[in-house]
Amino acid sequence: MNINSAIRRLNQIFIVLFLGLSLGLVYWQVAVAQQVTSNIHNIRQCMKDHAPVRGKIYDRNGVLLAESKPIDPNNPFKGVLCGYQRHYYLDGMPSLANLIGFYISPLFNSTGIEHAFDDYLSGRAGLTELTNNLNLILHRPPVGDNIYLTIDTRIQKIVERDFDKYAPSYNPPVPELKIDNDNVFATNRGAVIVTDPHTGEILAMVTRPTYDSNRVAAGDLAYYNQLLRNPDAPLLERPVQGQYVPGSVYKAMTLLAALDTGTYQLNTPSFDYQHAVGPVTIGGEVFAPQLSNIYHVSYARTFPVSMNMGFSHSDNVMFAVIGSKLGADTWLEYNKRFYVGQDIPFDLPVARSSVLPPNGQLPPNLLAENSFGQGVDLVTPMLISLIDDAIANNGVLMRPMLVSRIQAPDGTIIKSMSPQTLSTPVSEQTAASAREAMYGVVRCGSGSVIPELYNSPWNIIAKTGTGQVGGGKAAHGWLMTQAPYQDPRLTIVSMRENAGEGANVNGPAVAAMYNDIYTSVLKLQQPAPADPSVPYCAQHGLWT
Amino acid sequence: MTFRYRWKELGLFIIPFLILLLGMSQLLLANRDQTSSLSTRNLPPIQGLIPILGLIALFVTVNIVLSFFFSRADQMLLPLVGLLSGLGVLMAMRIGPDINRPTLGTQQLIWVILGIIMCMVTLFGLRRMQWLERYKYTWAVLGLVLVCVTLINTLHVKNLDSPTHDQLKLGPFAFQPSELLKICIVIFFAAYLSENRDILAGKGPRFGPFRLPPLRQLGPVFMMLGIALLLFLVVRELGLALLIYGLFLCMIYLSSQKKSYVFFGLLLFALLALIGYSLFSYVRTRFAVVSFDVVNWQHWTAAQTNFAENQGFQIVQGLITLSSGGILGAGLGLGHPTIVPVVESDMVLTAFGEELGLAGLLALIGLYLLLIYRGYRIAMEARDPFNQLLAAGLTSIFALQTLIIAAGNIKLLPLTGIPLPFLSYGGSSVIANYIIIGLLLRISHNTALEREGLA
Repeated sequence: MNINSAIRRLNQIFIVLFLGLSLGLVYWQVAVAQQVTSNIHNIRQCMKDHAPVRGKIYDRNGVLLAESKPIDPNNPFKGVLCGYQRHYYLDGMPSLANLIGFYISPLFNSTGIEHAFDDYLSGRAGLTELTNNLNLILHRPPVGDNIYLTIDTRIQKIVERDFDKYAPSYNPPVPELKIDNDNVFATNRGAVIVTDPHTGEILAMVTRPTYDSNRVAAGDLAYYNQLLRNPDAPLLERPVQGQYVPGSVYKAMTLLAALDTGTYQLNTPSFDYQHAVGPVTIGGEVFAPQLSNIYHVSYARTFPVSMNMGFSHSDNVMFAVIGSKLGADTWLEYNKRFYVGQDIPFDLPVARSSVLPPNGQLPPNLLAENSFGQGVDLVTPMLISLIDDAIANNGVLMRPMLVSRIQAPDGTIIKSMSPQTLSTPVSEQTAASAREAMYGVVRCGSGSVIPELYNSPWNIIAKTGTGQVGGGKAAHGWLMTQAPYQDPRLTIVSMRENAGEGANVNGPAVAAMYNDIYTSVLKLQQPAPADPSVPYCAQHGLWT
Repeated sequence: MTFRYRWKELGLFIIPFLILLLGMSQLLLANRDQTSSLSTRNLPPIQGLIPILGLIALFVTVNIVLSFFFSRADQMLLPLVGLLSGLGVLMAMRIGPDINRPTLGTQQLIWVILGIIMCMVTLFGLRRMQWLERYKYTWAVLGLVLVCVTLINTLHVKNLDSPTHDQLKLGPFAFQPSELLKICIVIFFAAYLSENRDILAGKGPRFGPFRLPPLRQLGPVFMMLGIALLLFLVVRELGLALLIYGLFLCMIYLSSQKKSYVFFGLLLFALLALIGYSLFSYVRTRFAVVSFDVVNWQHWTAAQTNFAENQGFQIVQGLITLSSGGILGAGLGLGHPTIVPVVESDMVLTAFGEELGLAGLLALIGLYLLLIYRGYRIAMEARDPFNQLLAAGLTSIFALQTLIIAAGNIKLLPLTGIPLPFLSYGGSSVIANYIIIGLLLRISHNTALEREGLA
């Protein structure tokens, strides 16, 4: 019977095909099930037995910042929500709306921490996932984990307050001095990052403008759409997602590369008049004295001068020369060490900073421009904060952190993040020299014209920056700082979009922030007063 | 006609009966107000079990009737399809109220009862299998008539995207000719191929190292196939075309036992598919679904999101529903499968997937495999090639249909509108499937009688 063997064979083929079908079912129902069901098009997530009791968000000291409560029956937008409504407690800390983000329901995309840690907050990760699998079988609503941020709400409130209080609306105190672009403009946009450089913990993060996350979380979609259309982009978390021309703060990158490779020493007078003031021609482009920032400075008459002199007075021509001497490969290597062009390992997604034109090649003239922070440099405040932190922490770069621990609802610690060393981009000696250079900025150079910085009892050291953006728009004002000079406890990077000269627009605010934080929160002893400026500046040829 | 009680069948029915009663009770409990606690006072009324008890009574009656008249017929088939169609009724009852068709379960129950009656009619009416064999061209013509009727109807309906465009309306009943068409085709193939078996197994024209089938003898078979495929192109029933082509391949292989024929068949199919893909835009849109990435939804573009919300809504929601079940499922009546459009028929697998989980689906696949195994066993035991081919072909219908629709549901193939045997809601499908069971029972009974020399 030949047909019988064919039938048997056919039966075997079908058994194999059905086994294949079973494997397909295993794929969908087990392997990718969690990923597929978390789709925002899955309205099951909105139903009673699936909508999670979302975890709470606290600051580092246990101050409640966000929680879910049953929907307020009077909420006119309750139809948008799923069982619970998210409440944010951000009085005096509006920037945390951008940092924490908003969460409406599983059917809408969330933002910020709410988005980045959604798996924990909605109980889809870690040990809680096992509990929630049981809850699912028993038709009980799943529960989420609580998140503790590294943010200190006391510091956050101070930084928010001082940033607004000292918003630029006045003329520079010494108008006759030509320091970068000395015009100052009012602006409603900016960012601040306050970090502990020894642990990488972010203690405060400010962005302007902000929005009311409670209105969005209540389901007011008209308000949300209005935010989306707002040209000032109030939903943007500027410290990590904003990309800006850094201007002279980026000389810190070139300085680190020059010191670390030993190409230049900080206080060796290596630059004659032409290489300090110009004109020099690099790659066919003339870097004229008008660009130098020290051309008009009446006290710079003795040449040759040191790199310290160029850094403190923010000499563009000198840094163009330094960058060219280093060469593109070396300069880019140091950029790479600070995650330029890469993703910074952080708890929120950070926009990639870039220093290369679209074709990926850096010609000599562009390298020269990039070396003093113009050219095609486009960076996030977060990147400047990393440079600042590595300098403060003796050349060791810590992973920036925003989340300190994750706890199950019953208090069990699911995950505790400890400070983590990323790398050592520059040597301890380089970092110390860079701190000295930043000291020179405040004692003798572009920072010394701001009385609040110069007279601060906390020995603030800094680098100023004024990133020219062209197009008839005012420059971005930057200030990268740390204090006290002897042993920096915190670093603060402050940036105001299109506000003009960096020291003027940020200096008073940053000085007030250090004073308020160190006096009322950290309760530090005031450090020994700084060296009198006259001996230091004169000694190192920063005033001549 | 000797009486011999079918104890084995009755014994095998016990577990299906328990499962159905348990499932029905679960459904009644799931439907009650879940906010109040369970107590003797708010238990659902026991009358809710009546439909299932009625079905059980019917199967016991069939068991007794068969003991009198067809005591030698296979004893495993009915418990298997009884459980499958009972689960189909349960799912219709569960889905109905949620899609504003509260009588869906009752309707499906009536279809199952009618199906069992048609199964009995087939058993009693078909005195001699030779009737089927001798009048093979009558069956072919009937098949062609069904094709024509569908074609005419299609031209009337115009809207080819409507899910009911391939139905034939006869008064209150909507009837799908394709369900009977597949039976006609198998009967014709079985009769024709068993007659020309020796020629087929012989040598045909050479084609390089391969030997082609003798083309002249296969003419009528190819004609039937061509008409069926034409039907697919006009009516746009991809699933039906796959089913018919699959049946063709199965039966050619069974009658000739030549792998090269199957190889050529698959080659031809690939060629046809390629032509269809390049010529017809609707084939391309159907296949676009297969390559759609449902897993990485976070990276969807605006166009992909739009697809998931419109043309791809059914399949995307179907997969989400399937995934929602996980390993153990939400429990009968406790999931939300009705989010998926047409979940009661084309997508019923996803409903079972969500509520019974992977465990439940694997059990269902096991049931289908047992059914197929039993069908092929009947075919192997049958005495003459016609009965063998007929039984194997009819069994292959179950196997192919299950594979095609299940593969459509898990996005391995474009989603097609063919029902999952016994589990999908739908009268024509249930009745046609019970007719197939009737034929298989008759063949097994005849075989047993012949073997005992009582024919």
